[in-house]
Amino acid sequence: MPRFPWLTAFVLLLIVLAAVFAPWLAPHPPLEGDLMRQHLPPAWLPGGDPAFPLGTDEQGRDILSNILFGLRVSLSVGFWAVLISVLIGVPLGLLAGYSRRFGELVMRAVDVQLSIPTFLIALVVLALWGAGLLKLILVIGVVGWAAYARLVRGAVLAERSREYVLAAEALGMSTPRVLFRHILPNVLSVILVQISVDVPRVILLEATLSFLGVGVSIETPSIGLMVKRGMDYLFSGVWWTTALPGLALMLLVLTTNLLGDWTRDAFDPRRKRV
Amino acid sequence: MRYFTVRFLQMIFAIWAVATLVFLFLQLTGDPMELLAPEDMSEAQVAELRHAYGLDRPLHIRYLIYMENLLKGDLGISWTSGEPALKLLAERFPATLKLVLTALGIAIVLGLPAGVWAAMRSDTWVDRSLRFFSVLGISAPTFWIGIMLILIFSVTLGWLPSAGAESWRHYILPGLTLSFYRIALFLRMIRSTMLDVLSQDYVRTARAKGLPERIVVYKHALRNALIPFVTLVGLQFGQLMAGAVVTEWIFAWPGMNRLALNALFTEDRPVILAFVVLTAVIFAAVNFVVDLLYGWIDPRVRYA
Repeated sequence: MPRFPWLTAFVLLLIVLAAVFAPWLAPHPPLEGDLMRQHLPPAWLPGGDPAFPLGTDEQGRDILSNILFGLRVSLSVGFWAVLISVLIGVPLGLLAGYSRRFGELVMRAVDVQLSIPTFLIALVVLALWGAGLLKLILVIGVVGWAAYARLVRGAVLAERSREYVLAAEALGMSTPRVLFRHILPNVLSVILVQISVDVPRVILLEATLSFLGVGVSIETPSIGLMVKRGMDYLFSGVWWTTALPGLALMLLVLTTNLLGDWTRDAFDPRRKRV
Repeated sequence: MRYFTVRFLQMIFAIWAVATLVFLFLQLTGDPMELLAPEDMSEAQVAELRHAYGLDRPLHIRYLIYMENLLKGDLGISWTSGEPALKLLAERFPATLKLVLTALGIAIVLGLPAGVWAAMRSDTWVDRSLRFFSVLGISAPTFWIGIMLILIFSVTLGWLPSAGAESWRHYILPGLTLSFYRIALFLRMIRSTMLDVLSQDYVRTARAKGLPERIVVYKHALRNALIPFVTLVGLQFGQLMAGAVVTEWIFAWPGMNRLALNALFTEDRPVILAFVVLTAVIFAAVNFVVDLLYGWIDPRVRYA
């Protein structure tokens, strides 16, 4: 097993803690603006105010506080949306691997689902149904089922003819019992690897959709929305409202990706090298 | 031949299913008359307009008409411009295609050699820094990369334009923005397949018979590593044709993704519908070609 990336895990833990405790850590309420202090630069630059360490936006809202609350949104979308995908995709994949008829049906549905990019489905659905955190989680979560169903079905097909499954069947165990008690634990590593790829992908998806204005609603602090608003002031030399939130988001995605790489190397049986 | 037929039928089925699902979804999202009819229109006028758009007919009749038109290549008339939706998209198609090919070109030229290099120098500082860059590349949000490039090269240095598509200089920033993620992706992929291939027996044989390392790497190993790479590039092409929305928007690129985004914001449903169906067709066609190519390069696939 490759060495566990302690530093990465530590940084990720710090980000998660900062996001979870944002209401206590943030120096200001994220949406509280004051037009008297709009576009204050970060504190280390001339004209900066130590009370606003990373500066303020066009309405005088504190950038640091918004980043902390924005990461909260990123993480909750990453967690809940992936959970929904798993809860839909894994049972379907298990059944699809067990019953040939049903399996064919599921695979055709997977084909259809994967014949349009996830991003496009989410974009169209959210643009027409309206933005909002819950809708966003629901849409991304539901659209993400296909990858899990396909992976789990493949893994189940591989496991089915193994002795332990045949033995369980010969002992007269019911199908659900064989599926959930015997096969599921053996395909967990495949699911875990897919989750580790999915979480950073979903976090980026949320940010992108919010950046386009169809993700979370305007009253929700979100990294994507901050960058979208900041874009209007690029040519006035205001860089901190776009650069800093994006940097924070990148650090979050980077650490989850690095941890995901480790998960894959450690748990993916296909990747084991001699 | 059987493989070809099965794959072809699956492709047609997927396109049909997508076309049906989008049609149904658009029916669920409310009465289009609220968008089409001005507020001061009388009941009779609204009814007339509804009739003119054929929206007074029952759902299944409209579905059949829609399917018939679809087969004829007619995807409806744009509600905002009054022109055929497909024509609008077709006009914008070349701009998107050129941008996507530019981005893929950059990604291949930079990602492929970097991946080979990292694999040959595996576990040295070269490999480690390239690998770090590649994780960075897949972790950075595309919209943010685009904006940072504008901040550096347009705002601060004033070297490159940040909007439009008039000259080759306009291609640089959006092309880089779109390729950033793919450079990293290609690098990662080539590196790991090269490492797999380099540990194979035939590579050891090639080395054992005293071939120069250059020939072993480029003639024996790289050729085999390229098979999955071709697939990845093909799939990325399909992804990008409908995934350049963000880049086209940031750089005011006159492509079909920006047109579709505007259609979404103005709820121009025929254009939205046409874009999704077109995307599904492009996507399915690309996947189909990639599958065939794969089956042709690697005969084992055909019997799987």
